[in-house]
Amino acid sequence: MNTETEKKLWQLAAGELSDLQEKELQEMLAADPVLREKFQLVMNLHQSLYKSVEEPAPVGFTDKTISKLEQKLSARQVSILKKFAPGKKIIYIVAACFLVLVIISALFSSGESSPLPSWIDPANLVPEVNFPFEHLTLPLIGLSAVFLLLIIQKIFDLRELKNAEEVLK
Amino acid sequence: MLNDRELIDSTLRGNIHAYRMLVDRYQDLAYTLALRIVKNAEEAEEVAQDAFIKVHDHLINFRGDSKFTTWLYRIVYTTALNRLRKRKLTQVSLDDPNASYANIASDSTADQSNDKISMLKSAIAGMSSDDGTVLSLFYFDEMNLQDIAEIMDIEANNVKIKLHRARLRLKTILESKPGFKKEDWL
Repeated sequence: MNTETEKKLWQLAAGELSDLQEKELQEMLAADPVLREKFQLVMNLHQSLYKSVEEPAPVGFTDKTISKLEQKLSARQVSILKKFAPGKKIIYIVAACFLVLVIISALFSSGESSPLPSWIDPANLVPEVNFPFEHLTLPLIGLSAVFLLLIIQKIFDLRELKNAEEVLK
Repeated sequence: MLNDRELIDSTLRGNIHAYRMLVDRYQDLAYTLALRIVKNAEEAEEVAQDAFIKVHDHLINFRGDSKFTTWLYRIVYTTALNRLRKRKLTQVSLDDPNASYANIASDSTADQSNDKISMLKSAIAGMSSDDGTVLSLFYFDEMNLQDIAEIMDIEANNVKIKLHRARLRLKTILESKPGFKKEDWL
């Protein structure tokens, strides 16, 4: 049997031949018992192959894959957090800004409402000059609040990063 | 039972359980394909796992132009080939049947068994990566030549030729095995 005929036997088994080719081969098979035997062997091999190529995945494959995936996702989360997480320096700088702002606001507001002592005659006073930064008091307090919130947020970011790292470990 | 598309959409919404179902559904073929190429159980498991992770990473890019399985198998196939390249494994040459016989001869468990399936498994395990891949894809998942061509990144005609050669080689390998009895297959 030549290679071409054997190829056709396999194609017949797999249903890959055209109607005409199939008819020709069927005629050859009917006339040749040796070829029929060969075809039987090929057909059996072909059918057995469907059952034999499968190799079942090891036990726990899915669990291991998912846990590997979750670990990778956590690692990615940590790297993102690290990218945006503040260093301690930034927290100190923000805290310092906050303190400075609080002190400045306190100084400004304390100058506004001090009552005059009784022994001073208000008529002798030099006409009152408005403190030039008085209108800044409220915005300064607002800014201080923003910086305070920033500090709290940065501290939470750091905590989250540490927690994520611990989970990864 | 949810279909692949529904599971993919659910995974994209962050549902890891949906992805677990997808892994569960296709683990055997991913593993089988990886094993046919890297020919080592532990490495095949790693390759299949890595492939599933890559699939998850790029799931957003899956537009559904082809079947999910075709896309998955292509990733498994390339991951396994990359692994082979990394360890610079000398692949069994396509035209070196002696190398295949050597591998089969080492599988004594299967040789002692008369079971046809074990015999075939042992024969496939001893074949080259190309032969094993093409047979696995064609027979396990009953894929058509076009899908296999897409996975292996070759022409459909080449798949046909490879498939034919693989079948002939498999038959030759089987017939040359000491335990082979022709009457068992008739």
